[in-house]
Amino acid sequence: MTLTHLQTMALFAFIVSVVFAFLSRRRLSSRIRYTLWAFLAFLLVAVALGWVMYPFSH
Amino acid sequence: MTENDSEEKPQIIEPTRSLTANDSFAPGETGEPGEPIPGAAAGDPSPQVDPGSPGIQDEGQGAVRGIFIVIAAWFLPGLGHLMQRRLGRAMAAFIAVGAMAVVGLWMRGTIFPPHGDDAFGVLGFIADAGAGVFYLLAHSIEKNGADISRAAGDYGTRLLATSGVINLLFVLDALEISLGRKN
Repeated sequence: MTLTHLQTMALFAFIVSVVFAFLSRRRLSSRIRYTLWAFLAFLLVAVALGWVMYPFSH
Repeated sequence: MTENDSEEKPQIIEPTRSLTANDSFAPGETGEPGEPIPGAAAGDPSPQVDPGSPGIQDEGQGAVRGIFIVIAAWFLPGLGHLMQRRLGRAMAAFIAVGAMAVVGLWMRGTIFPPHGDDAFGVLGFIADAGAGVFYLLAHSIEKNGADISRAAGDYGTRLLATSGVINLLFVLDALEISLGRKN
């Protein structure tokens, strides 16, 4: 099984977001909102860090 | 009928008599400072506790139950919550830890052995072993062995370690629930 870097990062972000939501929230609606928020935050920070490191790759 | 018609006057209970100096109280009833506490010996800084009292036995049983829940939650992700009737968290623990561990093993990530060569190896083993039964079955799932010559294998190593750390978080959560520190 082979996943690309982006797919692996998305899978990691989604599962960790779900785990954090279940550990820190009790109501279903709160868990869904927290999952979406954390997932988007993970992706946003990862893409931002990628652009920050981009100049050092040359 | 208006609201004033249904309004009831509050009942005031008058005291039948006031307390006098001749009234007697049982020890500890008045709560006055300096009054001896019933059951406490004079000069004894701490009250005597019977080791066989129900409170001590409950604490002992709670500790044993907590240890049992920790072992169960580590061995099979979600079992610790299931034993405490937390079905949602139990399913989340099993699916999250299982999915991450299996995908990590399918991507042929590194499985750290118990005897690590350096600090990173030891930390990797602790993280991997946190996945419980998925770590014990890792070599059965990943039959071809690790392959970190490709990037996918490196990602698999991270996913496998993350699954163990996530399960350790669920173990702590199950322990806190069993101790009554968390709902």
